[in-house]
Amino acid sequence: MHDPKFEKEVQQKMAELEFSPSESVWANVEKAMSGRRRRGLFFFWRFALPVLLLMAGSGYYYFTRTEKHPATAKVQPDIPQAQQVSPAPAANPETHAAPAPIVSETPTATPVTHAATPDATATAIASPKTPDNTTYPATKGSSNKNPTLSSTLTAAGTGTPRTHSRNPLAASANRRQQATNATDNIPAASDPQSAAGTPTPGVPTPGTPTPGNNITMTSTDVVRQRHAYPSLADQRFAAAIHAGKLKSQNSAAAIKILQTPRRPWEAAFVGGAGISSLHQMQLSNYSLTQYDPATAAYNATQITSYAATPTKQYIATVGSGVSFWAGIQAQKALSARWGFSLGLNLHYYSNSVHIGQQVSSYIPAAASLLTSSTVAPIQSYPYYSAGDVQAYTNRYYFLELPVAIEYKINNSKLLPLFWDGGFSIGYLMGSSAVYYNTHSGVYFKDGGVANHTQVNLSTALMVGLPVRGLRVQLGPQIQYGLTPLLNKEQSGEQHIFYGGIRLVVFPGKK
Amino acid sequence: MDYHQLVKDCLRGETAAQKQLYEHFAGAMLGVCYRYTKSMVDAEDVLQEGFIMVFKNLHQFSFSGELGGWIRRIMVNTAINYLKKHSRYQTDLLFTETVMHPVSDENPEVTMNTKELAELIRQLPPGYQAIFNLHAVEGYSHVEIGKILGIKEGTSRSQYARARALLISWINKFSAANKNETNYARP
Repeated sequence: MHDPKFEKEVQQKMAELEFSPSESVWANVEKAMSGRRRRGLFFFWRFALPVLLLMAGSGYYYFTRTEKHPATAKVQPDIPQAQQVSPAPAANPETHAAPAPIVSETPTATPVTHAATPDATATAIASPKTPDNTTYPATKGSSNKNPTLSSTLTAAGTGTPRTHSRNPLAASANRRQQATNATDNIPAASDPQSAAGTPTPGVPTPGTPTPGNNITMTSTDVVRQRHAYPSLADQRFAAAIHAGKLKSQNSAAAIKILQTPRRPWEAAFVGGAGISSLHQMQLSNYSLTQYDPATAAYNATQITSYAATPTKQYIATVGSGVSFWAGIQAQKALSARWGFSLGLNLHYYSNSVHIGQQVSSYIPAAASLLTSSTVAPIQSYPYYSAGDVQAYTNRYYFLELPVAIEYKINNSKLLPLFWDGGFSIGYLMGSSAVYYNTHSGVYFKDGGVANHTQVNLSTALMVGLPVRGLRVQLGPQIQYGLTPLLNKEQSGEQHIFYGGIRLVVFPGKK
Repeated sequence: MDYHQLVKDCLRGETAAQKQLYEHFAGAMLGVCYRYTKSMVDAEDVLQEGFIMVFKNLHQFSFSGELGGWIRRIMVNTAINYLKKHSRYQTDLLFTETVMHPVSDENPEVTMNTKELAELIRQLPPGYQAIFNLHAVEGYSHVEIGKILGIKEGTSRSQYARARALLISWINKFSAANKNETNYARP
């Protein structure tokens, strides 16, 4: 065994070797570190923000849908404007006074105001009296705890124009109060003055609105009714007719709503499996040389003893690999045939390349004799020579946000056909791929050479399958990456291609 | 220097601490990078990549050893990867020789200074240069060098023996030339 005296002497001398690096080194290190921090934030907002927006939108939709009540949210727009009680002009005191006698059963010549006689109107509305003058508690709908309702009622009694709020809750309460108001004024059977049992000839029975009648009931109409039916009993009966018409109108509106097709967002589970590959574009040697900073720097030094020789432009044939994906989808029907969908998928792609032997490996922690107790394990870049020694599987894991439209091709209920087309934005979460360096002629692993953001085009033709309790769509799908997988300076343009079967499952029947 | 606090500050992303760490080790680490490359430009490239790796993986440093040794190890790995990735070094790193070559017992006295010796090492072909640096200077065994470079242990031994013999011959020539110059200078 030889004496390592020479090696020790060399070690001692080399330990003293020091140089002063140029300023640009630290500048580049600092730039890389700050860029790394910025890139982290950028990636966070670029992908976290759409997800947050999607969740916020879904949440808003969900909660607004559950809070809406058909009676308040849907009836309001369908009621013609003329049907709503028009605000009476302030110049006509008789118009304002007209409803008061009907409600309070105390017809007076002067307008009754809430401020003067609060019990006359509001009490009658809130706590309707039975014929024996027993006051029952106010109904839930007419509770004075509701400020909107209270203000509406007050406006009705004070003679100021009745303001119809756009708030559906207030409008609904107003209408409910109107109906209660009118219903409460239907003459009781025990009322000696009631004419309910003996209707006036020619006057229709309450609850059976005359077809074709205009049910618009303004204050002026009430005044006309007063003139048409001078007696209190007749006026009550006219009010009952109005209530019946109003109910009938509300029922018609409700029927109309039921007949209108609702197209809510629907959630579905989506997935698929197939094969993926890389579509290669032509290499450009000139541009590769131009973009390699290391080569440029080396050439600038004019060192000829180890000048780079022209390397063989070799890329192994890329074979296809297994690919599968799964995710969730929110879909909304835009019409009977068209639909729109958003989703969130995790997509696995793979392909295979034939490469040579691995010429780099993991360096164990105790590898260095000099620093055996100090070092932590460090993974060197795996590196493979070009060749045909082994088949290597490149794996890619993408998080994708697809946006698509769907078209129902036929109207068959048995086997409906759907076409689906759109695009997706994908982010490369991880990869074990090796990339080919055209200068050194080797394959190496380096996550920095891949474009982490991918834009893909996708289309699918699916058939709806009759599965019990579910709605299932199944069919072929193809997808093509518009964005090159790799940075251009590293290799030729390679685009991810995927072809497979797409499956969409909607829980529950439509 | 309190490396513990410095590393913590670096991990918090403080640029001033990172610069302090860089300035403290950059000179010596550039010397390491210089021994593996053929030009100062390449050496600075390696230094730059190495320090980016240092800051990127600083959270892995466990304070159980010397920070300088840990950084030096990263620099060596970065330099080896740099050689592998660049074609001008690549052709000389593809070792094919498997014939064993014994290491000579010659141990010449190294009379030259540090930079002169470093220049002689850098004149070795890249394959010899890398193996000589890894074994003679860094202290890696041939088994470890074989794993790092993807070659057989025997190949590493053989290449090292040739590199050592070549370097010693150059050192002897250099010493002889220096001696002649000295003798010539003295009448």
